[in-house]
Amino acid sequence: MSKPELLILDDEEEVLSALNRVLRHDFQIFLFSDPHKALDFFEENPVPLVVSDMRMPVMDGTTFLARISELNSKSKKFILTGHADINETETAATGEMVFRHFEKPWDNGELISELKVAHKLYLAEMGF
Amino acid sequence: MNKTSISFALARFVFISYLCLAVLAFVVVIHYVITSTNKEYDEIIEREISIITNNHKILIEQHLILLAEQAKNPLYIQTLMQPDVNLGKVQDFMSDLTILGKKYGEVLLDFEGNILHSTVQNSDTTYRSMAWVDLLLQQHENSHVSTEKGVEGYFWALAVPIHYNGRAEGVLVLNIPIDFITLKNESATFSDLLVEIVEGNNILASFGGAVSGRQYTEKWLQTGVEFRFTIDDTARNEELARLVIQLGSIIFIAITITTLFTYLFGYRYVVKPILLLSQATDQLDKGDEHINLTENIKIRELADLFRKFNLMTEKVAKRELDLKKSYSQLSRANEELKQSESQLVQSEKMASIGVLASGVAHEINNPIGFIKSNLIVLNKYLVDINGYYHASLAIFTTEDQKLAQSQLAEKYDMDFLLEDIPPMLEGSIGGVERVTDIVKSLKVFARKDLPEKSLVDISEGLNATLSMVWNELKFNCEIHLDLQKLPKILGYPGKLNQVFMNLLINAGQSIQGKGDIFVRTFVDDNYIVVEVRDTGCGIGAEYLAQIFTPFYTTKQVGEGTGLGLSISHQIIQQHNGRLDVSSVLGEGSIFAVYLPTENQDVDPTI
Repeated sequence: MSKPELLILDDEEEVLSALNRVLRHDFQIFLFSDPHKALDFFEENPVPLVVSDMRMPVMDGTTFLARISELNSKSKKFILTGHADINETETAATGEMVFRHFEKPWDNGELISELKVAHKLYLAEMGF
Repeated sequence: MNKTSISFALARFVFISYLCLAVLAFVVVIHYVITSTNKEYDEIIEREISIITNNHKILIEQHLILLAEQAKNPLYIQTLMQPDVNLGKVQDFMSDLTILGKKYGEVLLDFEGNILHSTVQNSDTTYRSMAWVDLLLQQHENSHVSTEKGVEGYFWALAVPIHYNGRAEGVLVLNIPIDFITLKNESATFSDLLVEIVEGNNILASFGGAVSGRQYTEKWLQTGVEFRFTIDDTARNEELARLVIQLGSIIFIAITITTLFTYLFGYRYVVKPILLLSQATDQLDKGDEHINLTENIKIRELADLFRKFNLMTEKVAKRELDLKKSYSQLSRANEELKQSESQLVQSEKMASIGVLASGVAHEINNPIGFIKSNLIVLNKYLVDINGYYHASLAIFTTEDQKLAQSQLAEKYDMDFLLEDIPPMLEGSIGGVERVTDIVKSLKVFARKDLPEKSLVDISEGLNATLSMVWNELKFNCEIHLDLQKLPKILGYPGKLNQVFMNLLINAGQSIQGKGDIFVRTFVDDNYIVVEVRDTGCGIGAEYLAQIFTPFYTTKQVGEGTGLGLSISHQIIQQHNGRLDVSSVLGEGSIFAVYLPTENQDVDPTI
C-alpha cells in the first residue's frame, strides 16, 4: 500500500524542510509555501491529509482550510500554529472543520501518529 | 484716629447734655433761692430794724413825756419866778429826781437860756447859743430831742418848756447818755449785728461786734439822727454756699450715676450684642462650625440683625456643607478615577504585553519548531551515521586497511565526534525545550483575562510567573519553593499573575546583595494562601500603613510607580480575598495573599 498523501502549507521554508524530514518516511508529502499554489494543487489532487500554518502573510490558515473544505470536505485538516492558547477565538473560528491543532514546537512522534490516525479515519469514511 | 465705643459715646453724650441741663437748672434754682432768701431776709431785717428804732423812739418819747410831767412841778415855776429864794429847794428837788427809776443829769434854764441849776457833772455846755432853746422859749416847739456832745461823750438832750400863764418861762433839759439803751443782744435774730447811731458823719455810739456787710439806715427826721445797721451775712453766705455745694454735688452725683447707667445700658443692650456679632463674625471667619446667636435681645433692630445673621450663617453653613459634600464626592470620584485609571493603564500594559507575548511566541515558536524537529531528526540521522560507520569498519579486514582507517579516524577525531554529538544534541534539545517552556510561561502569564471570572489554577499561574521573574531574581536571590496542590478557584488569572509578579519583584528589590525568597502555597480553612517571604530590608512600621496607597513609593524614580501594591490590593479585593503584610525592618517582609475557595460572588454553575 502506497504512503498516505499529505499536503503541507507553511510560509517558512525551514518549517517545511523540517516537517519533510520528519514525515517523509511515512507520508507522500507535497510542500507549499504559497497558499494559491497549494489550492491549485489540491484542486487537481484532493489529498486526504492537509496541514496548514495559521499565520501567513497571503492568506491565514482558517481561510485556507475553509477553501480546502470547499474543495474536499472529506480531507482531514490540521493546524500547526505558533500561538495556540493565546488566542482561543482563532481556535474557535476553525471549529470542527479542523481535525487537530498542533502547537509549534511540535512533537514528532505525536505528529506522525495523529496523522496516521486521521488517515485511517479518512479511509474508513471513504469506505475502504 | 482714636476710636470710642458706642456705650462710651452714648454716656458722654448723656453726660454732656445732662450737665448742660443741670447747669441751667442749677443756675435758675440757685437764683430763685438766693432771691427768695434775700427777700425774706430783708423783710426780717427791716422788721427788726424798725422794731429797734421804734423801741428807741418810744423810749425817748416816754422820757420826754415824763420830763414834761416833771416840768409841770410848781417848784420850777417858783424857782423861775424867784430864783434867789427857791434855788436851794430846786437843787434838793432835782438831786433826787429819777425817770423810770433812773437818775439822769437835768438842767434848768431860765427864760434867757441861762443855767439856773444843773445836775450834770462836768458840763461846759452853754444852752443860750442853741437854736432849739430859743424855739422852745418862743413857744414854736413844745418839746425838743437832739444829740449833743458833752464832756463824757454824746448824749440825748431832751427838753421841754416850763409854762406859766401861757408863756414859756424856762426850759427843763434832760441829758440821757446816748448808750442808755443797750441795743446789743436786744434781738436774738442777729447775732452779728452792728448798730450805730450817726449824725452827719459822726458816729455817736455803736453797739455790737465789728462786722462788715450790708448796711441799712433808718433816719429819725425829728432829730437828724440816723440809725445805721450793719449786718454780717457771712453766715448766710456760707449757708448759701453750702446749699450750692450740696445741690451741685447731688446734681453731679445724679448725673454721674445717670451717665454710668447710660454706659451700662449702652453696653448691655447695644455694645454687648454688637460684640457678640463681631465675635461670631470672627468665628465664622476662622471657619468654625454653625454659630447661632441668641435672638432674645430687647433692641428690635439688633434682634433683627441677629436673626438675619443667623439666617445667613445657616445658609452659609448649609452651602459649605453642600460644598464639602460635593467636594468629598468629587475627590472620591477623582480617587476612584485615578485608581481605575491606574488599573486601566496597568491592564492595558498587561494587554499589550499579552499581544506582544503572543507575537513574540509565534515568532519564536516557528524557528524553535523546526530547530527542535531538526535536532531530533538529526539525532536519528546520527544513529544511522553511527551504524553506518561501525558497519563500514567491518569492511576493512587487512591490517593495512585497518591502520589506514584508524589513522584517518584519528585524524578527524571520529571517536570523539561520535561520542560528543549525542550529548551535544541532547543539550541543544534541552535548551530548545527550555525556550519552549519560557515561551509557554509567557503565554500563560500574559493571558488576556476574560470579562467574567474563570476557573484558575493558581499553581500554574504562579509557576509561569516564577519563570518570568526568574531572570530578574536568579542573580542575587535563592528561591525556595514549597508549593502544595491547590484547588482551582474562580478568578482572573492574568490579574492574579500580576499580583504574584509584583510580590516577587518587590521581594527581589528589597534584597541588597544576596538573599532568599521563600514562596509557599497552602490551603488554610477556606482560603488558598500564597506567601512570599524575603530576607530583604523590610518595611518601617511608619510606612506599613501607606504601602497600599496609590502612588506611594520609597523607590527611586524609574524603579517603581507606587502603584504595584495598590493595584495588587485591589485585585485581591476583587477576588474577595485579602493581602496581609508583616515586616520587620532589617529582617524582611512577608506578604500573604488569601484567596477564598468558596463563597465567591459568581454563579456557582459556571
